[in-house]
Amino acid sequence: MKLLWRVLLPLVALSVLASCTATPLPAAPETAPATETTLRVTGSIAGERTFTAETLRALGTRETAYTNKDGQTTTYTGVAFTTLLAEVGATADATTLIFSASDGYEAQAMRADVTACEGCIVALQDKGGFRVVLPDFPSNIQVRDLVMIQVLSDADAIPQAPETTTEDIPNDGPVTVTDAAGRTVSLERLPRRIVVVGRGPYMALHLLYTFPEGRTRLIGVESKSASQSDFIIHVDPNFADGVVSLAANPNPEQIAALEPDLVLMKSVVMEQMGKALAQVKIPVVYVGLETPEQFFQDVTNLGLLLGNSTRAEEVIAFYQSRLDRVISRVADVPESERPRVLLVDYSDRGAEVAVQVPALAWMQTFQVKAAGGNPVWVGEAQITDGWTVVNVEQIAAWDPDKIFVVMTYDHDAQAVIDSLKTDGYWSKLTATQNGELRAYPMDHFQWNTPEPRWILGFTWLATRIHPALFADVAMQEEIYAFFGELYGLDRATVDQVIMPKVFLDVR
Amino acid sequence: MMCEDSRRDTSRAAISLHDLAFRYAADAPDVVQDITLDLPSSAVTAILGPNGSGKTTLLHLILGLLTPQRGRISLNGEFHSHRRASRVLGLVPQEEPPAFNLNVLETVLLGRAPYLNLLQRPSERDYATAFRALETVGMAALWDRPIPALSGGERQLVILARALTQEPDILLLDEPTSHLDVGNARRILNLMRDLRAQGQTVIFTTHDPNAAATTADHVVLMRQGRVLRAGAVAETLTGNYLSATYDVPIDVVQDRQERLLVVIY
Amino acid sequence: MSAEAQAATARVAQFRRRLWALAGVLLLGMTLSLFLGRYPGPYFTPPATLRDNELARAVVLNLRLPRILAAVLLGATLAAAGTTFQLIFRNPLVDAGFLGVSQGAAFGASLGIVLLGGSAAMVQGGAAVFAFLGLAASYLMAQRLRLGDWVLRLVMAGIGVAAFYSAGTGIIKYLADPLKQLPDITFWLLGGLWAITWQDVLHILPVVLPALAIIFLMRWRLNLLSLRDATAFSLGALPGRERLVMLIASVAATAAVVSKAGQIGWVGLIVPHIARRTLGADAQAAVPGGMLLGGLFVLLCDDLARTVLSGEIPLGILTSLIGAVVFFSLLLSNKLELKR
Repeated sequence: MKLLWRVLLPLVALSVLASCTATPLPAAPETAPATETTLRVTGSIAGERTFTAETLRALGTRETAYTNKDGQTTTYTGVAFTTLLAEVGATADATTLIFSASDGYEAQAMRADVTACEGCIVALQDKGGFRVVLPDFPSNIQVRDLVMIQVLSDADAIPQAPETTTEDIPNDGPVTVTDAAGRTVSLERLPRRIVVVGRGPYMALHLLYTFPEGRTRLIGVESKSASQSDFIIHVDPNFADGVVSLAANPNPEQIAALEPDLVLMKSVVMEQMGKALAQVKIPVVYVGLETPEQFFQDVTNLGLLLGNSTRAEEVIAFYQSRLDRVISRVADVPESERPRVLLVDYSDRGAEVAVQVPALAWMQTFQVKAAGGNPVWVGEAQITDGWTVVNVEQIAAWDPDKIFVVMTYDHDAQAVIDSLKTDGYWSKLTATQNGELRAYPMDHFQWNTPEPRWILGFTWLATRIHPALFADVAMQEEIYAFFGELYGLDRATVDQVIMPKVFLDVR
Repeated sequence: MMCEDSRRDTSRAAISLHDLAFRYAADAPDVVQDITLDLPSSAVTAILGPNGSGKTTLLHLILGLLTPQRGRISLNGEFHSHRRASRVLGLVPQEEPPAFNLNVLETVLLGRAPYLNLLQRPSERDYATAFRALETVGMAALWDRPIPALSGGERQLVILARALTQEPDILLLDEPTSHLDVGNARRILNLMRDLRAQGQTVIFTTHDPNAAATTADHVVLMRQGRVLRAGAVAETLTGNYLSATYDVPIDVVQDRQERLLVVIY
Repeated sequence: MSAEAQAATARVAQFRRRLWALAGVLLLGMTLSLFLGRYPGPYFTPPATLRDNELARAVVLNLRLPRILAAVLLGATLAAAGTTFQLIFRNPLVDAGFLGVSQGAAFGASLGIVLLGGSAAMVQGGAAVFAFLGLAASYLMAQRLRLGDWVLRLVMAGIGVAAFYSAGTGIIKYLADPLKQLPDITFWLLGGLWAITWQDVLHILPVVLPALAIIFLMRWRLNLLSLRDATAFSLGALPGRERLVMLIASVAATAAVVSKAGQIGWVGLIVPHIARRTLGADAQAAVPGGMLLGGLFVLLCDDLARTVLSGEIPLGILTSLIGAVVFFSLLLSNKLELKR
């Protein structure tokens, strides 16, 4: 039995360790500092109050010496918590204080502990702003650059998901849609609390944000990478505050904790998640996005779900006009005049370079074909789904007229293209010698993926495959139109946040 | 003399082998052949022969573990099913390395398997039988010792106790002394004599003529898969037969108590 | 009755009490686990929440309860199968990874994901079919080999079959779409219980319960089957046939749970060791003890997997990590002699 404990103890110790390291450290992006720093006090109090350094000082200050963990002692001036809480009229059932800093850091203390300690103050920082000084308390709750104190009673103490939109929704359901997985989903009323999860959550997220309602009704999104919100914060500056960022691979329970009334997911291989969510009666709608037909269906579905079919029609019209323009112009190009095009995905691990061609059913293959190109890899990529690695020999055998190289944002496109051009094999290819080896453009996100930007990639491909046919199409204007009409970004904003990321002709 | 008595007792054979032949594969040579033999009951029989003479194979044939290509085997004049045979024959195999850390009692209890069906586990009565066997071999006090913690001699005694727990009519021992020191070997051999005195039929294989000479009533000499000679110990363990069995000159002398002593040059 | 016999009887009663105590701990652990999770807030769910929150009730009854049951079944099955394999092969370092069972299941599931559309039924069906094919192939190969005894032949055949399957899985991974399917295969190979529903539990019960019952009821017999062929035979057993029954029960149960949970490492290897060390080498105690400890171990790991972080931790990582820690603490404990 003793041995049994020797076995169980490390387990317990490990679990304690795991839960310690797991203490959530919200990594919200820094918000721009306000001109004058203020301190907001909200929650179970007589009424919300905002203090400036001056109004706080007016409550009467005292001094507290605080010794940090390195043994340095500093004397701070500030207002005692007892004074402050009395001033704001904290209710009797309020038990917990949550301190929020300007960088998004949060810490929590018990009201009783803080008021029992005379030296506990909200101090005025020398550089301006406020901080918490709690002598003899753990260092991780000595919050600096304090911007908000929430006073919570037990009833509020459970962390709440962002508030539900309170807007009145006209024609509020019921609604029935057929989603990309072919499932019929019926909702009693329109969803107010939408969560986006699954593979490539940004794809569905960007689609959702083409609707103004998307911003108010989205409450949570799975975060697959740190750069995932790089674009969306320019569309919705409140994104970081209004939307809960779920860690990668949340389990159904974690999703349920946000109490969503609709979960949007891209991938159908995630069906298992839908099955589990069904157990707690949370409806799931899948989006497909891989072909224009699927894309239009997804947009129509979102229009129905968000109660804004007018917007859905606008979005579809935007895409349809651009799709039609390309398809109608290349329709008459005879097969013999369709350039032989290779689109490859580039990746390098150390010195190892691999290029791969996309599956036939994928957006990339559609883009090349519909833009009047003749995809050379059709005979090779017999896999229904997935990238297929091809070697240089095969590429030389194809010897395509035009090559487009897709790469991720962390590559320097010019450097990649330059290295290929000096490569012993690649430099011999006809396309390279004719200056037809190009990097596929992107801004914050790639233009070749099944997300709203596919229309930009598609238009660009057409102009580069058949320049003569599309001489009138100016890509700059296409970009302004795309971000303007779909996301409401004006030209100045696009110039500021999008254009610096865009390269159109790296070759 | 003891062997004279035993020969009179064997009006009924414990094991009868008739025209037995066995090979491991169709295209392999016979490992044993032309074996027709009666092994007496209530006696100690030694199957003696050099390494590779087919002793263990013969034992496995008797057990039913191997099926002969030719010939018949009867136990006490009857042919038994395998399950029934395991209540008639108890085996002490050649050294068996312990696979897991079972203790002495748990090991001995396995001897009750012939009396239990697939789902049954030993009952209190089985525990009593196991302890009786442990007392017979003098190992009861060490009942909770793990097998790997025992000496080779102790381990052999435990395995013997397991075979006794089967309450078999016939006890088969495969090279019971070959990996024991002289003292432990003697203890096992004496125990075999004691069991025989209680009327137990004991059959053991050995390549040591002295073990046969001091312990057996009846000897079977084997060489190259055939029985060279079988019979009472005094008539079988002679210098000529032993020399023919082992291909080295061997003498047999008698000590003052008329016990046989095998001398190998 | 002699003093020794009385002591022996007392020992048996003591082991029985320990097993019941362990069963009590497991039940307690399962009950407590119902109140651990990420809803409505992280870590602990106050029971009062269940009274007035309908969603909380649904989460506890429809997500946590089946998951807890699945975790216990998974642990019990892997440990029981591990104990069975180790005894039958007289080798304390084997588990269901032998005989190409796990590799077969992994291959079948990967095949289901990549070539058969990745539906749940295809993944699970593929895993079960190929696990059995793995066993059958190993078994038939072993019969045709001409060296060593049955155990050695079976193990050698198993190594060959496992290598075939591993290569097959490698090819499938190579063909898989790195963006969509590969993460799926990877997650499957790491294993997890996050998608378990009542339906899944009900799917595996008809296989797992009878299989565990067979292993449990024949537990004393396993001691016998851990002896060499000749000895087991002389004790009235038909070692080949009886081992086959135990193997089929183990493989069927393993394939069933693995098809729902993915490959979960170390449980089948480490738990039987712990059970033998704490409860004795006699399979009478080691088998039920292993089942209980296995259930407890996976329950603990899964509680961590679903509770500690807001993102799900793959269960296979936790069992391997904690299993390795336990393994080393066993090796470094003062009872250093090789206990098998």
